[in-house]
Amino acid sequence: MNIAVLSGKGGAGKTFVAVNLTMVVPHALYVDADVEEPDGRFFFPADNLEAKDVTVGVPVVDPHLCTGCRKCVDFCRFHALSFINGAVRTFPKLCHACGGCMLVCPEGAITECRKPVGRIRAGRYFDHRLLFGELIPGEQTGVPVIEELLADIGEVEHAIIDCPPGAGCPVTACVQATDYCLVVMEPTRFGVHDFIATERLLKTLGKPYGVILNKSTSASTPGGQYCIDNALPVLARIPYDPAIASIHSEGKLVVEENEAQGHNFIDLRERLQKEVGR
Amino acid sequence: MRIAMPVEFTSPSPANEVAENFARAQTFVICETESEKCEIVKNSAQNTTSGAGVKAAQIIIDQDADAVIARRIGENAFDIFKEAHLPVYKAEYVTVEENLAAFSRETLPLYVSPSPKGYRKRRGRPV
Repeated sequence: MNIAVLSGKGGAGKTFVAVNLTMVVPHALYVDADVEEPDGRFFFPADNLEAKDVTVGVPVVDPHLCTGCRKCVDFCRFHALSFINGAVRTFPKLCHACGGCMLVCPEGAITECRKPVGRIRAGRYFDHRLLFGELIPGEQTGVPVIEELLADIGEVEHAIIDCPPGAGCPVTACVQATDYCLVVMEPTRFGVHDFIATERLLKTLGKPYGVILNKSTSASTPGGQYCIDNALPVLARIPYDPAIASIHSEGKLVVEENEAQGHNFIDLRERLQKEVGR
Repeated sequence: MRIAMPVEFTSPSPANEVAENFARAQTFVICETESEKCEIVKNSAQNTTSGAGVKAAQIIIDQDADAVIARRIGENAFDIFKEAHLPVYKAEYVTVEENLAAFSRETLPLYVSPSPKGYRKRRGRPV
C-alpha cells in the first residue's frame, strides 16, 4: 500500500510523521515528495546516494518556420512565450512544460529541448529504500519531479510518501498514486482552516483519509473538535512536547529515541492497516 | 510618440495617478504626445496567475507604444521591453499629466535594471 502523508498547513509535522512511520513499517520505502523543501534526508544518514536529473521539455522555436501567427503565444496560459520584433521569444522559467505550444503550432516550428528542473537521489537506510526528490530553486512547478519519483516507486509492498503542504497541483500529483492519505493536522484554528482545503481535495479525488493530531494539547482543541463533529478517524495523537520537538530538530528519529513515541507509531501502523483494509 | 503608463482607471484623465505596479495594473493609458489624446487599454494580465509581466509587456508592444513610464517594472517585462527596444522611464510624479510633462522635458530617469522582486498588489485596497 502507498500511504501519502499530507497536511494543509505547512509545518504541521508531515516529515516528522512520515520518517518515523517509515521506521516502524518493515521494508517500507520512504519517498520525499516535498520537492520544494525536501528535508527527509536529514533523518536518514544514508551515504552513496545515486542521483539523476529530472528534465522537462521546453519549447524552442525555429525562426525560419515560424510565420508569426501567434497561436502559441495566445495559447500559453503561463505566458511563457511572447512575440517581439516579429519573432517568438520563450521564457523557460515560466514554462510548465505542458507541450501545448507544440500542438497548436500549424507550421511545426516548435520543438522541445530538455531542461533540468530537479533531481532524484536514491539510497538505503537499513531495510528501507529511500527516494528524495528535489526541485531546483526558482522553478515553476515540482510536478515533473513528483511524477518521476512516483514512477520510480515500482513494485513495493509499502511506500510512505512525504508530500508537499497545501492542496495544489503538487499535492494532487502525489495523492493520485496512493491508496490512503494520512493528514497531519495541527489542531489550531489555523490548522483546521488549511486542513479543510486539503480535505476538499481528497473528497474530490475520492481518496480515503484519516487524521493525525500533532502538537496535541487536549481533547478540546479546534482540530480535535473538528474531527469529532465530522466523525473523522483520528489515527494518532502526538503530544505537544518539547522533548519530542527537540529530538526531531536534531535530525534524530523519535521512534528510536523515545519509547512512548515508539509505541505510539506502532499503534498508528496497526490502526492504519485496519483503516486501509476496510 | 505613444507613451504607455499603468493606471487603475477605466476612463482617461490626465489627473489619473500612475499605478504602483506595472503588470498587475487594471488598465494602461496610452498618450499621444503630439495630439495629447489618451486612450485606455484593458490589462488582461491583471489577474493572471503567472507571467503577468510577459503578458502585460506584450499588450504594450501590440499597442505600438514607443516608451513606457512606470513606478515599478518586473524582470520579465523589463527584458521584453529591452529586447523590443522600448525605453522604460521611472515615474517620479503622481499623475499621468505630471509624468508626461517630465517626459517631454526629458527629466525622467531611465530604468537600467528591473525593480526588486516580491511586490504583489494587495487586493481590495482603495485606489
